[in-house]
Amino acid sequence: MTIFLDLAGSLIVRASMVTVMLGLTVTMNNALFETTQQTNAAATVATVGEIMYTDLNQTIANGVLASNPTMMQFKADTSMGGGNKATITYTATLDGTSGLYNLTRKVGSKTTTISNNLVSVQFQYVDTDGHATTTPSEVDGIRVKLVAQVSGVTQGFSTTLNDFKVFPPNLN
Amino acid sequence: MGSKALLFGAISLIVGVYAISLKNVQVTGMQTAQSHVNRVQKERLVDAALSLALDDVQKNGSSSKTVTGRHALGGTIDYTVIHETGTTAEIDITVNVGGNGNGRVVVAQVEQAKKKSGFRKVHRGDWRVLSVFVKKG
Repeated sequence: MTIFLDLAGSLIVRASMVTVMLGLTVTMNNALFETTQQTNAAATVATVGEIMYTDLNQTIANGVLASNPTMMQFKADTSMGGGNKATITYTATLDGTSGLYNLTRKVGSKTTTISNNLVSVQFQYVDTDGHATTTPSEVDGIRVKLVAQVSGVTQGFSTTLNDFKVFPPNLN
Repeated sequence: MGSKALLFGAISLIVGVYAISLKNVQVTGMQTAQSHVNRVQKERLVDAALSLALDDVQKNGSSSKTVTGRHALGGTIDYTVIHETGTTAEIDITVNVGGNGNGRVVVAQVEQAKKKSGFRKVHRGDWRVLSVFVKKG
């Protein structure tokens, strides 16, 4: 009888060990997955921000052509002072299927989607006195707010934000 | 006793492997943040360099000159004023942060004119920056 009790106890102990290790592995794996997804989303939205920031900084004098909350168009010196000018358009459109925004960058006639997982996109504009404006000729600074979804993460930090302001040095 | 050692060994291995992986991910996150900080610092340094150079032009005129090794905001600033006319000049600026030689070169056109400047426009007296571009490196 004792031997059966010993066997049962041993099995219970081993099963507990396996359960603890499996539980630990699952927990650590989830933590690693979420952290990786958050880091990837943050890096991606930062790259999108860098592209926009660089473009906006090249805006030429009186170069803002359209200044809407989800669309902006401006003329930029894409050769960084070399004289080659191009019209750049950023447009955010809501995808009805995914419920997320697609952000496109159009340079001349070529359009590229630079992000397709944005929960919200906001372009805000200020004049030389710092007041909000939507009149292109009055724009002196642009605030861009991009909120990206962290894929596969439903609770906690499920979004990541990139909020930056650009005051193009050659605009006014 | 053997079972306990096995359990602790396995747990240590699992925790260790994931801790290293998590640390690597966090390092990537830090690098993203650091690149943003570096950009902001270089921009502030360029602004400081423009102010210094324009201050020089305003006080001493736009005659051609080269200034090297000015220190500001934890970086080094070199600039050359290239005289064009009495009321315009080109300023070539090189800023370096951290002494790694990975500098940013900026070319600015400046002019002497009484005009209202924008929020970020660097100006000294009547002198103001007309255009500024980071040179392609």
